[in-house]
Amino acid sequence: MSTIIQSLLVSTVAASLLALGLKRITHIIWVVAAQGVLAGVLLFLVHRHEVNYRLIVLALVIVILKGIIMPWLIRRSIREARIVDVTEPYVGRGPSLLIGLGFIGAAFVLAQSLVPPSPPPSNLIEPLSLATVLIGLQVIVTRRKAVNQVLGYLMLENGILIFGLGIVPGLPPIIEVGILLDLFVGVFVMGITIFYINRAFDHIDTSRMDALHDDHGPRRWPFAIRARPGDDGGAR
Amino acid sequence: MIAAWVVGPAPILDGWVALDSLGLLFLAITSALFLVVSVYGVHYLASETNAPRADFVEGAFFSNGSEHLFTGLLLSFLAAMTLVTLSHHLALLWVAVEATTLTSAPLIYFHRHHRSLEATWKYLIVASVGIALALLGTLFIAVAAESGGDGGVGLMLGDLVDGGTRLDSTWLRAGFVILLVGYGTKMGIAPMHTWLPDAHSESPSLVSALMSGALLNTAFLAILRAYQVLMGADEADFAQSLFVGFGLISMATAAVFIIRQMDYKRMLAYSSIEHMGILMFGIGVGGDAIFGAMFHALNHSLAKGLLFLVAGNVLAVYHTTSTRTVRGVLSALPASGLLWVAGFFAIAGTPPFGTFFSEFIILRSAVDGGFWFESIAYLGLLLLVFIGMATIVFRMAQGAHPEQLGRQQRERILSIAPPAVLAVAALAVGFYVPPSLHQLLTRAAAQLGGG
Repeated sequence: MSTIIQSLLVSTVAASLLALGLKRITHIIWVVAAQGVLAGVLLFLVHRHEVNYRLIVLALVIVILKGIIMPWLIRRSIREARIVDVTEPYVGRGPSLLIGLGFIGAAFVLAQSLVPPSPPPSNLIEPLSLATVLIGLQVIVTRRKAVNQVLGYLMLENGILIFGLGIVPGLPPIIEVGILLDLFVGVFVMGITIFYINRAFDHIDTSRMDALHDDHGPRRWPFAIRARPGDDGGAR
Repeated sequence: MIAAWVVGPAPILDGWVALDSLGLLFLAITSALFLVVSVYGVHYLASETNAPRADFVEGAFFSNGSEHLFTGLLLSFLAAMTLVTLSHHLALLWVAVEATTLTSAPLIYFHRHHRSLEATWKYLIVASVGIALALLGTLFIAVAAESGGDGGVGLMLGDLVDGGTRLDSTWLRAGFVILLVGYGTKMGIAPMHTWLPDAHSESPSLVSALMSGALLNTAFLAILRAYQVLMGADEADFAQSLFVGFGLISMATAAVFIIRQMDYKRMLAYSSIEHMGILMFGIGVGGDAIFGAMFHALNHSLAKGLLFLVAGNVLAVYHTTSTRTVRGVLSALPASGLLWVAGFFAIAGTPPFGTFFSEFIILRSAVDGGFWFESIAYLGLLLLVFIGMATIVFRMAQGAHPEQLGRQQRERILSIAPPAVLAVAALAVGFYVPPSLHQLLTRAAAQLGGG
C-alpha cells in the first residue's frame, strides 16, 4: 500500500512539472484536475484505517469538485473568453521546468529540517507536497494569462491539501471545511471574474492589464478609442 | 457590542468564539466605523443611479452593480470581520479572514468598468494566494501543536498559549513566518501590498474607508494571534526583527509612492500601507510601543475613514482623482475642504490629534529600547510621507476652483456629518482618552506582552 501512496505522490509532482511544460492551456487544465483527483484519492488512502462517512464524503467531494466541476468551469470561461489556447509565460517553458526541478530539490532540503513529530504514512508526502506548493507559486508568478494564474492557484491548493492530509494527524473537520470553502468559492468567484474580464477586455492577458499603475507620465489604455494625452480625466 | 464593552461576555461554542480585550478593541473599531460609514452610505447610494453613465476617466459608459447586492455584501463583509475579532480557534480565524476576502471583492466592482475589474482581479488573486499560504502556516502550527503529546494541543488559542513550551520550535517558527507572509498580504504589508492601491482607488469611497479602517486591522489581528502563540512558547524574540523589518519596509514603500502621487485615492491607499507598517513596527519594538500600536490602530481607522469619505465627496464633484487638476476644494466645498485638511493633519500625526501621541509613544519606546537606526528610519520616513502628502493635500485644498464647478456646490448633511464625527473623535482622543478606553487598550497590549 505504501508503494501505491508513493506512486500517487510522485504522479502528483509529475503533474506539476507537466503543468509547467505543457503548451496548451486545455491540457494544463486536465493535468491540474488529475492532480486534484490524486489528492482526493490520497486523502482516502491515507486515512483508510479510519473509514467513516465523513471521510468518504469528503474524498468524493474533492474528487468531483477538482476533477469535474473546476475544469468544466474553467474551460467554460476560456470558451466564453475565446482566448488562444496557448500559455504565454514570462519565463519560457524550458527554463520553467528547470526552475520547477530546482523547487523540488529545495523542498527535499526543507523537509530535512522540518521533521514531523509522528511518522507520516510516507516519507515523500512532506517534500512532494511542499514541492507542489512551490511550483504552484511559481506558476502564479510567471504566467501572463489570468486562467493560468488560477491553475497555479489550484496547484497551490492541491499541495496544501496533500500536506494537510499527510502531515497533520486526524484532519480536523474545520480544516476540511476550510479547504473546500477556499477552493470552491474562490475558484467559483475567480471563474466568474474571468468571465467578466472577457467582456470588459478583449483578452485575459494580465500583463496588459496595466491601466492601474503608478508612473509619472500620462495614463495610456491600449484599447482607448480616444487617446487621452493628459491625466486630467476630464469633465463630461 | 456596547454591552460587551461593559461586561465581557462568556465564550460560546466550546470557546471557539470568545471575546477578549484584543478582540473587543478591534471589534469596537470595526463596528463604530461601519456605523459611521453606513450613514454616509445612505447619501452615497441615493446619489448613484442605475442608469449607464459616462466614466470620469475615459468617457466610456458603465453602470453600477445592483444596490441590493451592494448592501447585502456590505453586511456580510461586516459579519466576516466581526467573526475574525471573535475567533479563538486558529482554523476558524482562517475561515473568517477568507470570508472577508470573498465578501469584499465584489464590493470593489460596484462601478462596473474595466479598471475596477482589474482591481478586483488583482485583489482576488493576491489575497487568495495570501490566504492559501496562511492555511499552510496554520497547518504548520497544527503540526507544532501535535508534538505536545497526548494527541497534541489542538488549535485553540488558549491551549496553544498555555501549552507553549511543548510546541515544536522549528515548526512553530516556520509556521509563523508563513502566517506572517500570508496574513500580511491581506494587511497590506510590503512587498505583498500590490493589490492595495488599485483596490482602494477603484472601489467606492465608503468601501475603501472600510477596507483601510477595518479590514486591514482584522488581518493585523490574525497576525497578532499568531504572535500570541509565539509568546506562549517563549519565541517572541524571533518575531521581533521580522516585525520591525517588515514595518520599516512598508513605511519606505509608502513613502516612495506617495511623493508626487498623481491620484489622491492611491495616495490614501499608500498612507494605509505606511500606517500598517507603523503598527507592525510598534509590535516589533515591544514594551510601551505595543500600547502605542493598539492606540494607533484606533487613531488610524478614524483618520483614514474620515479621509476616504471626504475623498468621495471631492470625487463626486470634481469627477477626477487626479492630484494635478483638483484645486480649490476649500472654496468649492468648504465643509469637505476643511475636513480634508483636518484629515491630513490627523493622518500625518500632528498634535493634538491622537495619531501624534500613538506615533510618539512608539518612537519613544524604540529609542528607549535601543533601536537607534530603526528610530531614525522611522522618523525619517514619517517626515517624508508628511511632506509628500502635505504638498498634495494643500495644493488640492487651496486656490481657486475650476470654472466648470460654478458656484459653491451645496453639500449634503449626510455626506458631511459622518466624516465630521470621525474627525471630532480623532481629535478628541488626542485630548482625552476615556478611562474605559484606556483600560481596554492597556489590557489588549498586556495580552501581547506590552505595557
